[in-house]
Amino acid sequence: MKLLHIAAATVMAGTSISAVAGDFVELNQAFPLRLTGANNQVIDRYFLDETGMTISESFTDRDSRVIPLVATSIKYDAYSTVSPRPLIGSGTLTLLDYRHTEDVMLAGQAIGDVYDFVFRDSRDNKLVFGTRVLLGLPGQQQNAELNNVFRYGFDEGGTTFAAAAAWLFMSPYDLRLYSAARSDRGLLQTDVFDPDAVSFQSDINLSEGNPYSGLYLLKTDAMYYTMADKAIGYFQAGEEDQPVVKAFTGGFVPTNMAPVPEPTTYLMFLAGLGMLGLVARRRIAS
Amino acid sequence: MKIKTIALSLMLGFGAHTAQAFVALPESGELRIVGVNNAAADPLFLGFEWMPATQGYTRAARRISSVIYDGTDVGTFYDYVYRGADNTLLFASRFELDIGEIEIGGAEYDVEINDILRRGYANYDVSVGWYDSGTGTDFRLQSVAHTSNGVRTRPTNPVDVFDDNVVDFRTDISVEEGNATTGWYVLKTNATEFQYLVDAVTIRQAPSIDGVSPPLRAATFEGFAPVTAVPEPETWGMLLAGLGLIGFAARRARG
Repeated sequence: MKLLHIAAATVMAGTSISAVAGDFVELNQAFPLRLTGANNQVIDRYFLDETGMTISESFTDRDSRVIPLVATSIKYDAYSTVSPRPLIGSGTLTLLDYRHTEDVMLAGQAIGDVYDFVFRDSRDNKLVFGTRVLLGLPGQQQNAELNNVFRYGFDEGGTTFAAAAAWLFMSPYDLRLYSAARSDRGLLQTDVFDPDAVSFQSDINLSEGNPYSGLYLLKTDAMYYTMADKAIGYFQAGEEDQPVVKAFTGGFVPTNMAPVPEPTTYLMFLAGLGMLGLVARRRIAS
Repeated sequence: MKIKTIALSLMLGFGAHTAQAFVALPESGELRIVGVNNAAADPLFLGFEWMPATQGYTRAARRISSVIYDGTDVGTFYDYVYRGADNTLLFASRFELDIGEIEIGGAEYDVEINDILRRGYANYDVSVGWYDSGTGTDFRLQSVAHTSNGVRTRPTNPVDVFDDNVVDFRTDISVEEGNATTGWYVLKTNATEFQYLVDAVTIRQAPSIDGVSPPLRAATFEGFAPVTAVPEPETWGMLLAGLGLIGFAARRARG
């Protein structure tokens, strides 16, 4: 399956206009918690200039637009947002793992699909968690709006992991990251520092012409990743008179605990030991 | 839902960017030109460093006025005219909202601008683009068409019908949504003279699906526009020549 994806991959050309970006931004653990981006990419602190993607899965939407869904590698340039905006680094995000959750529910209705990614950044070898939301796909509720997307698991038994936010376009129709904070609160709520949660703010809404979020990224200093039942949250603030609702779904979370080998790994280990023993016995016997 | 995925996409990235130039507005067929969120791939975006002053344009006039919805001053309208080296004119509009909600009949409604209609362009060549003022809050030009009926409605938009006199800019600015200002939406024309028209601009907020929250809101006010075309000297010449011919024919018929 992995091989098939790689064989079928297409490399997308990057944007041709340079010096239009920011970089990963470490989020504050004290006031001011919420740091905002900008409509203008040149001064958006969170915006990464994507310079080439290898796409393994896409789909064609109702407007006949081809929307990339999964990228096995993403190259990017990071710039300073302070004039003359020098290039300050480049990296390649290599996909380690991903989950596609179909028909996530809000207020009893399927509103969209969530993609959850784990990448490693060649620039510093750190793990990067990626989140992307696609709302109002055929058969789903067409009027949902997400004002916030949350990621959890950044506090592990008192160890608070680093969380640096950034985003990039997977398709040119994606909606930007409006702001980010280490908080479990959303639009029209007051942020309170929460070491475990990161709140991404946006305005994803099919009827407003923005059904797809950008790829929202969080870089961490945790060494490993694992699965948790509450990894991603999503919130509708009700600013267009919709109900105020929040829900959660499972996904990847950071951890410093080394992954425990799977039962099948132990079986293979035992089988290998057995074979070694057998060979040794035959040699002694001969 | 199960989205049918395509394993092999033959897409040439969104870096295939041909913008940085004004786009002529079609007068038949598909009238509307649609932009995209990524400015670097937006056919309507003039460029990150684009400004009239650095492109050889000189400001010829400006008017800054209130934006009034239902008797409430909700923001500011910037109406600028620039003259190019070839003497032709650019008409640039920018809106800034500073009120998030207004109260009508005891109920509070979000204030938005969804369409900006500019009048007075009949008989002129019109091309379009937008640029960012650099504030970071400017909202892109979502789409544009040479039409007067194609304003945003919910849940679906009407089919655009050509109107040579009117250009419809579609946008979505709102203080509540964090997009309080438009970028500079620019009309490049072959007009060389401008005037001040009482009904040059109409702004419109689309009603919600139920039509109540918010209701339809619109306002029409003054702004700059190209001068209505007057016949060129050679047109007068042709008219006189035609009259002469008729007179000559009449004389021969009598003779």
